[in-house]
Amino acid sequence: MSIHPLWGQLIGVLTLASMLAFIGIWVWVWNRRHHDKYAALARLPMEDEENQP
Amino acid sequence: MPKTEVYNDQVVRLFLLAAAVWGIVGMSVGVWIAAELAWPFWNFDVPFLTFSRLRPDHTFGVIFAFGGSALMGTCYYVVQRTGHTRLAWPKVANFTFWGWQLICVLAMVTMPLGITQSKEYAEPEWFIDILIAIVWVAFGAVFFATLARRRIRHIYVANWYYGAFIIAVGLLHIVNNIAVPVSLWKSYPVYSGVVDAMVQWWYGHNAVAFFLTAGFLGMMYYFVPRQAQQPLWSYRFSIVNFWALISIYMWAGSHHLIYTALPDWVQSVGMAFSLVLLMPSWGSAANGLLTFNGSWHRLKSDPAAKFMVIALVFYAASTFEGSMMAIKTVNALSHYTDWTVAHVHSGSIGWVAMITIGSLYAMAPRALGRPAMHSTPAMELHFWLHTIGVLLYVLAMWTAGVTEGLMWRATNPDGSLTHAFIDSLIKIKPMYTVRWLGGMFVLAGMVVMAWNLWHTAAQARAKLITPIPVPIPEPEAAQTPAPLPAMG
Repeated sequence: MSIHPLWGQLIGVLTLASMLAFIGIWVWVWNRRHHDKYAALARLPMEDEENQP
Repeated sequence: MPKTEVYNDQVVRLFLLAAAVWGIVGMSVGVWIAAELAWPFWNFDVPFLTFSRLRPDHTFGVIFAFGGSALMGTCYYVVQRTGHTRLAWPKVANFTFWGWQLICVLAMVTMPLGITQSKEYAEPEWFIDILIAIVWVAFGAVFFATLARRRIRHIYVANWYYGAFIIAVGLLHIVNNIAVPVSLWKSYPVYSGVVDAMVQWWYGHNAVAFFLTAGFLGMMYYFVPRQAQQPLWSYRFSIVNFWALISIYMWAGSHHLIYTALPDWVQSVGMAFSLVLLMPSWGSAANGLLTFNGSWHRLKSDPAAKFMVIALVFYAASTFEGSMMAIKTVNALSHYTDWTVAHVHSGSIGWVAMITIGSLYAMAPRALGRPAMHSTPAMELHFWLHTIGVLLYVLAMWTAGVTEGLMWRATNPDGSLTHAFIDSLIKIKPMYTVRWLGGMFVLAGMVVMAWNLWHTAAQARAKLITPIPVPIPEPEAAQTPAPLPAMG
């Protein structure tokens, strides 16, 4: 039994959508407006040590 | 007197203790069955002591009992610290601890008696599976309820990994364990034939992905910057790696079934996704290692940091190896050999155990109300015992695996096999002795850690420790959500 050719089209569309989503995530996270927030978050684990009594 | 919200570290301490105990139990069983493979008389011809009955106890003991307790304990610790809030629903959190311990005991007792589904990494029978599902949902409820009452708007990346670990493992466990019970001790899966195999390895590989990778990456993304005392090298990169990892891993499971009755195109999908998977895996490893930039000097004096760095090196190495082994032509040599065993253990005792041990050493003094671990030389000793043990283990199994692969594939000009199977067993027997020795080193290190934790916990046992207040900058009236009453 062979696979219907329509599946190939669907897989192509899904692959393209996945690629666009992946590029979209890169663009989103490198947006300048996130810079300060991410810089603060990157330091968050260090607080535990700084707050040691 | 004003109310002060404090972290709930009581349940964290319980999981810490459980992780130390289960680590020793699970690895002792591992050393025992390694001895059986080198010297078969160690099973004494007693059914419940045979390799086939004890092997699930080893895998369940180290993955779900040791790893699971460490993951749940660190998860409760991290979600409070990164949300500046106390753990939600403390009674449910305590239920998750006792429930998980009950599950571990039931599984470890029933499996050697032959009460098993015979599905790798999903051996426990149906009644234990239902308990696992209940406790897991409760664990997720506590985690997400705590996230919901966080005081820091953005969800720190470690929690994304912990969240993915909780959701995916729940999904995998339920789907893979749908079965029809025919008695209290026996059930049959609803899947059959190659579909059963595919569902099993969709589960099996994603147990590696979401239990042994995503969960421990959550641990890494919190404890590595904390121990390095450096900001995470790239927070942005951690987000990209998160989405890439969780979307790719789900499709790689069929690489466990290369050259089987599974349709060839499904095998190829698994191979292709396994190769792509190398990128997010190395992305996280690089992010962790580069976080130590400017702090490499800490490795001279801090064994916990050493554990973390070597864990990340093993993570990079074993994920590279995994991607290569998923290539069909490489798999033709490696499949069914001890190379697979070497790969699994470089990932489990190299990456998973070492990041866990490093994180436990980082977390334990804080959770136990002490400025540092009881003995730094003991931590140093543990590091070297563990590192030597891992290297002995994986070098022995790599050698054994490649020897087996080459001997099994060798043919004479007339097409007959050059070597009988027994010849390959005789050839690799010395490697099985070295593997056992490596396991002994790792186990000895775990005993040293348990001793060190026991002494570090002296004040906690005497109930002399003071709960740690949640850092809340705003006046109490302005806090959202409102502070919880002080509790130990």
